[in-house]
Amino acid sequence: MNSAVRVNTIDKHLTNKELSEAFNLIVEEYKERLYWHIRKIVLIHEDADDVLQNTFIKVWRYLEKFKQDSKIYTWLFRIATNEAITFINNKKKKSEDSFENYEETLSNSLESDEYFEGDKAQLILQKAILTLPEKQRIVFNMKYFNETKYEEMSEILDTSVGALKASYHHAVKKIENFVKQY
Amino acid sequence: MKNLNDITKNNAFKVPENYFDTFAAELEARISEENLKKQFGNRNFFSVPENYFKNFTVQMNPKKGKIIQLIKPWLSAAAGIIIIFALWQFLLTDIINTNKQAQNHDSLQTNNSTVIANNTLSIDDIDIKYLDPEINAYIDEADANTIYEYTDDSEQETVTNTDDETIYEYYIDYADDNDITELLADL
Repeated sequence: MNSAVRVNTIDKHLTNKELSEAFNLIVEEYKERLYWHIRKIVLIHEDADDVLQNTFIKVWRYLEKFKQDSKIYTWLFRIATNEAITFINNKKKKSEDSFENYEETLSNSLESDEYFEGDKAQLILQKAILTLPEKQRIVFNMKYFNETKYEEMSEILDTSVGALKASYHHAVKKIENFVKQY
Repeated sequence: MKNLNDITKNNAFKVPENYFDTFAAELEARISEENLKKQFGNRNFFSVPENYFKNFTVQMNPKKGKIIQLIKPWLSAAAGIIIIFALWQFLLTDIINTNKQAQNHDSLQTNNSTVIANNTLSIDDIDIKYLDPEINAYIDEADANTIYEYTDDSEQETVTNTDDETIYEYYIDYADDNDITELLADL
């Protein structure tokens, strides 16, 4: 079953309230795309795995209430983004409690992460992204790496296209200023 | 590095081998766990005997715990016995002291009565047991003048000449009316 057929089948199952079948296909179809979306936000594989599982548990719990007014893709990415932000905020709070800087800790752990195989320039880029505010970081990742359309991003992040464009523009400027130092 | 275009867009991240193949199964297990939690919650259905955790440390240290456990009842009993003994000792001492004081008082009364009846007072009339050993030794060695000196601090006077005139002057200076009356009767 290819991706297009699978998406149509998911819609059919949802319409017929065949939630279990719909859910299994949703996991099959979106697990990788959601994983990479989450991984770009949290950076560490173990954290991304946790967030991805939390995301699908939420999907399982609320699938019954999902209204097919919006695309399932948009709904899933919105849940995943919110879960990743919640995860990061919890981590930040724990870091503050132990007088650590979460971004700094994350930046250091990336250098020794066995699941990061980027070169020196890519490591600098990730460190530059970590200096951005949370929302700008998400916008930059979605646009720069995934080339997500602003309209789709607008639905997922519940932000206007204009605001997203401005946010991305600022993010690029900041990152270029950062990488110029190296 | 001048700008972003110098950096490759390739995905620098990777995942553990077969991660996506096994993800569905792992997620299923996690969902089953969540369903169980939803059904039963995280409530602990088990309980422990009263004071179990309080006594746990003692039980985990058998040597120390055993000794304490063994002597614990005896400690209470010993403490009780010590208190009773101390009270008994205190009361007994008190009773003995009271009796002794009463006896001493009687003895003094008898001695004083004898002295008063005979109208004589000598060093032998003083019961030796009521005197400090030092005083006792002093009395043995001292003459009458020295004893007088020892016993009358306020009006010390050494009697060197004991003729009638001296005695008369002494009485004039120190004696009260009764003494003078007695002296006149003797004359």
